[in-house]
Amino acid sequence: MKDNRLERLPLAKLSRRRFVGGAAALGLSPVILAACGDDGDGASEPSSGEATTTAAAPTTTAAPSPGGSGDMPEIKIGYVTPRTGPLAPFGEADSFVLGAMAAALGGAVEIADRDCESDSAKAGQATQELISEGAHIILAGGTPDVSVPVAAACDLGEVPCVTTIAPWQPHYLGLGGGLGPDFPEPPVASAWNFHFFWGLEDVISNFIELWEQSGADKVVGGMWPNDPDGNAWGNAAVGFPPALEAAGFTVVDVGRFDLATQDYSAIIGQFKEAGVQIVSGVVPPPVFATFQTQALQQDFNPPVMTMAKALLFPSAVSTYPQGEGLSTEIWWTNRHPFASSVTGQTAAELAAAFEEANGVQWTQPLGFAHAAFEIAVDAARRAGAADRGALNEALGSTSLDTVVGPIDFRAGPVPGVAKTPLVAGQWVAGQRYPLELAVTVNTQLPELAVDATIQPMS
Amino acid sequence: MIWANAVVQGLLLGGLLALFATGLSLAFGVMRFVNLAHGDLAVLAAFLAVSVTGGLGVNPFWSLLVVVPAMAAVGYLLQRYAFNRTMGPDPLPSILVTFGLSVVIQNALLEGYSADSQGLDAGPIETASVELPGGIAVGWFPLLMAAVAAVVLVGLQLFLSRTRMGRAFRATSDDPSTARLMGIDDRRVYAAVMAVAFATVAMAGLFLGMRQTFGPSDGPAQLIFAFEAVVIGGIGSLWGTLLGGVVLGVSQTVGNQIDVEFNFLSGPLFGHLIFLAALAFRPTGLLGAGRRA
Repeated sequence: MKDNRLERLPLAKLSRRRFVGGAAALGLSPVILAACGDDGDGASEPSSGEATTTAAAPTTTAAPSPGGSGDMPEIKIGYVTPRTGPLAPFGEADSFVLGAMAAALGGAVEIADRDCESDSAKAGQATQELISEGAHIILAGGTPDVSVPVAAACDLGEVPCVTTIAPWQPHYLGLGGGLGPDFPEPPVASAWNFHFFWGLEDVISNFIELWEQSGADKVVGGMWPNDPDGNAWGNAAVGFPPALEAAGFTVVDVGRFDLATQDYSAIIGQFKEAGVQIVSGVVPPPVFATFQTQALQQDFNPPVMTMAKALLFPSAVSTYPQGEGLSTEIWWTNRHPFASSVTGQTAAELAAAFEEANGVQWTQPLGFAHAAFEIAVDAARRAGAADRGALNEALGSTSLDTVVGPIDFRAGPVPGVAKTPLVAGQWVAGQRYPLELAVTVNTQLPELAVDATIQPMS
Repeated sequence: MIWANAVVQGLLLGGLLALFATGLSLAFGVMRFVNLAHGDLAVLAAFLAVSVTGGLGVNPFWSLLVVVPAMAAVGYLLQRYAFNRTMGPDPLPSILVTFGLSVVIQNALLEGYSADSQGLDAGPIETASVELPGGIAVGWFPLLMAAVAAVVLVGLQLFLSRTRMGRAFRATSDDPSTARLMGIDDRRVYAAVMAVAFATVAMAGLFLGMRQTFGPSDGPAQLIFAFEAVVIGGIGSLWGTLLGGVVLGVSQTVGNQIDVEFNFLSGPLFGHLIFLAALAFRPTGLLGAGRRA
């Protein structure tokens, strides 16, 4: 206050200082906001609301579960996924899966679920909370941004943890694993983490097959941003560029661009100039929406657009200017020839139950969220005790047929990782829904019938 | 040609950035009022537009008719009954109050709309474009945005310099006590200024929502660009704000182009570097020099 006199110095100078001071105060806001945001979803009663939803689906509970739940120890399962925020589509099936599991397992299992709001820091915090609340096992998934901090927190707290829905390399590397010539024997990234999903090698082989099928010129424009996924996918040693060049494709790599950019004309211009016929990459849905809008504005309309992450969910694809014809990797469909070890439902029955309960189209994370619980339940049955160490040991020797396929944590490409088969396909105009996923490449899972061959977008 | 394209796209992006910065520039130019909730207000307007378009089933352009007056009214009332109490030689109270408002808006939006990203679908105009000579394709929508920004800024500048009310604004800005002696109620003038500022930020928010997707916590990131546009252009000058927005937009798209061509630094960083350069070498801004404060 005593400085008031001084403030009557030449105004132009002072006001600037004052103004910039205000700008500096901005820097504080994320920190303070992050601290404020946590109180909202604090001590939520685990899934009590959802349990009633699925009690209405009696087939779930009536189905006899192999092994029964009689010899299940009473355990507490923590569950961390993004249910809101940019990654929310990854968690769209969660409330259904949690409810179905609560109904199928009865009183033997207590499930505590947390929404990480698509935020890595909050995912780690939520995990620590669940650990201090006594969770015996933590399940998590939805991109490496979630799986890595959760697994890291579990490693610290020595709690077994099953993660999924993140390609295994970014997850394994993010958790401190090692790949390449420096690591003849891949190290154990975390003794407490077990991850199941597919890997970069699978998405690369699927995309290549998809593009060869399309007949488009072999010029690929790569949009691999500067984030954990983009750095792994665009890696010059193990990522897309070397594999594509080996397969005879020309790669136009725009470099690890900043996801904060508001304008993609530089990338679009470079693609146009290089005659790119196939656009690929791994970007979140909001980025792809802006990119496709600008590409169409600037008359760039390649015959093939194959994106990972952005094209997985019908809810996201339907918001793009042109959704039909976009192609993507497929982790799971309602036609997959597998069944649940907990409820006995086939993939088709599981998807139908979800559609009936939620009134929306099935989505791929449904199968993987369900399978994560299958693995936890199987481990609990074999461990026979609500003990973190025993559960961890049981997880390590998992060999289980789940609704997403066989999971074997002893086989892995690296310790603690199991792979599931990956196929690829295209969004086409559907019969039941505006857009449906058609499988066009099934090399890794020949039992799954192919629906169509890929059609060019333009 | 690729560079010409980068510059053209940057000019258009600059229009949106300038429209964003208008409210901030006006509030600071007339009342020396730093509004830290500015970015959140834009996001709030975009969310309101989501409700209006969803509720009435109309194109988001029509929601301008509801959202802009509504935000202007909110601005008037906030200034009249809250911000006016913080005005004075000490800038801290107003910074603290708007900082609090920013937290309140973000959490209210989170509560009301969840953390999910939202978008406004403006229809086919979003992707329609026109071909310029030289093969540069320009989207109608960015063109419209830039035109609206230019019209709003030029209109406001004319309003301030040519009309009776604009004169009252300037008089109050120069010397509130003397203006009071002349029969001007400075608190009402301030409230009117804030109403105009909120109306422009509502427009910017709607355009932002049609251009890209947004979430409840996206406000502060927008605020930084608005601040930079104001500082680069020169404080207190609306022409400067327009110029500042354009400089920022062009430096971002040209920066992106440099990133793509030479794999050197990222696009948004270039905008921030220009901002720092402006502070270091031309602290009064491009058009701020020689003006009476």
